[in-house]
Amino acid sequence: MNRTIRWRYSSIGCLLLIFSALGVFAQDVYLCVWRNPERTMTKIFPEARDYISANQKISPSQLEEIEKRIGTKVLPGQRDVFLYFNMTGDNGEHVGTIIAVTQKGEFGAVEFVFGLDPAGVIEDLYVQRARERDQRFKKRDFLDLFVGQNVRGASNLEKTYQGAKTPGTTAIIEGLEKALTAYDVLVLNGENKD
Amino acid sequence: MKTAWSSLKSAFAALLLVAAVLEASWNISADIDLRYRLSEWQHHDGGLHVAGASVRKTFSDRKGDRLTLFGLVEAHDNFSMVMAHELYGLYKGPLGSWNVSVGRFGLPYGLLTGFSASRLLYTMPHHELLGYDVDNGIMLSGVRGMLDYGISVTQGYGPHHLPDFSGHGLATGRLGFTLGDAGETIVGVSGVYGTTAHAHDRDMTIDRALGALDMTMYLGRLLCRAELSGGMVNSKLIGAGFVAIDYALLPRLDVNLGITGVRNGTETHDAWFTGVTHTSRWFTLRGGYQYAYYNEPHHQVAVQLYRLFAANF
Repeated sequence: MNRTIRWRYSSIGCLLLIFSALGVFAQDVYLCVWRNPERTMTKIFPEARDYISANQKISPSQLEEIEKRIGTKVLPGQRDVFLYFNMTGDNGEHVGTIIAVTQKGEFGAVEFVFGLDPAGVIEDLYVQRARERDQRFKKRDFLDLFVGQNVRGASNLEKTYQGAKTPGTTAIIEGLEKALTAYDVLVLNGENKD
Repeated sequence: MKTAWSSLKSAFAALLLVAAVLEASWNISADIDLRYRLSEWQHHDGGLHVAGASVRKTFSDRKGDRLTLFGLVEAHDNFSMVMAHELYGLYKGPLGSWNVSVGRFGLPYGLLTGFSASRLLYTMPHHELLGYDVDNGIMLSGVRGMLDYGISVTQGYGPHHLPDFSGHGLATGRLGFTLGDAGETIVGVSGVYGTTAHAHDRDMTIDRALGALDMTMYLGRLLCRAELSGGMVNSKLIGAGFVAIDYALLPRLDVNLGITGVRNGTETHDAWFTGVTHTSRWFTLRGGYQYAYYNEPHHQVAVQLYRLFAANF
C-alpha cells in the first residue's frame, strides 16, 4: 500500500474515531433551523424593519429550572443555547421577539414560529415544516387559541386546547410551553415565574 | 493566481479569527458520508464519499444582523479531493430584503437554491446544465413577502479550479414564489448565461444559455421536488428533467424516489432511483437501487451510512 493510500485510509480511520467520540452526542438533535425567516417575521410584525439574532447560553442551573417547570427534558440540540430574534423598528427600537421552535413529532420534527410583543403576549403563530399524518394542528382555529397568551401562562397552555390530542397538537403545545419558559428563565430572568 | 487564492483564504481566516475574539457564539456542523456500491452485480467499492465541516458566524449592529461569514470544507472520494466548497461573506440589508454575498457560494438556479442531493444516493442534472453547483463571484439576493430572488455574476470556475481574475463569466438568476401559510408550495423560474470551465481543464470553456422551472411541494408526509431545464450548451440543444419524492412511511422510515433525465444534443443520460432512508438517533442509513437505461452502470445498489453533528456555541 503506497503512502497516499495509507494516508487516506488513516484519515478515514481518524474521522471515524472522531465521529465515534461525537457519538455521545446523538445525531437526533433538534436545532432550531429556520429557512427564509424574514417572510414570517414580516407577517407577524409588519412594523419591524430588521432583526438581531440572539444566542442565549443556558447554564446547567437554568436548564434544571426550565426542565423543572415544563416537567420534561429539553430536547438534544436545545440544551446549551436558546436562539431568538429581537425585532427592531425604524430607529433600532425593540418592537417584539420572534422564537423559532423545533419539537419532536411522530414523523420527525415539527417546526413552528411565534412572535411575542414587548409585553410578552403571543402576537401570532405559524407552522413552518411538519410531516405529520394528522394535519389538524396546522389549522388556524387551533393555532389562534394561543394568540393572546402570555409568557406568564406557559404552564396553562395545555388547558387552552380541549380537542383531540394528536402528535401535532402535542408538539405545538409542548414546544410553546418550552419556548415561553426558556424565554422567561433566560431572557426575562424569571421575573414572571409562576 | 495561486497567490490570489491564498490571500483570499488568509483574509477569510483572519476574519474568522476576529469573529472569534468579538463573539463567542458560532454555528458549527460536520458530517460524514460513507458508501458501499455494487455495480452490475459484479463490481463493488466503498469508502468515504464525503466528509464536510462548516462554520457560520453572524455579526450585528444596533438595528439588526449585518454580516455573516460562512465556510464549508469538504473531502471527497477517500480524501482524493479536499476543497473549500463554499466560502463567502454575506452583507444583509434590512429584513433580508437585499443581501450581497461575495466569495464562493451556491448558484441561484432551480432547486439548488434550497436543496442539494450531494449527500443523497441519487443525483441531480446540474453537472450537465451548469457545470457546478457553486462558483466564485458576487450575488444579490433577498426576500420580499412571498417573493425571493437571487442574481449572481461569477467566474465560471466552480469549486475545482483556483480562482483567477476575471474568469470566464457566468450570470445566473432565480425568481421564486412561496405560497401557503406554511410555505407548502415553492415555485421558481431561473436562467443562466455565460461560460464555465471544463471540470478537468480550467482554460477549456463551455458556453451555457439555459432556463428552468422548479417546484417544491410539502403535502403532509409527502415531499415532491421537480425541475425542468432547457437551452443550449456549447451550441447543442439540451433538455433536462428531475423529480424527487420522499414519503414518510413510518416515523423513522422514508421511501425515496429520484428520477433524472438529460438529453444533450444526441446523447441521453438517465437514472431511476428508488430507496429507503432510516433515521436512527445516532445515524442515518440509506439504501437503494438505481437503474439507468442509457448509462453505465445499468444497475447499481448503494448503501450509505451518514452521520451529522451540528451545534451552536
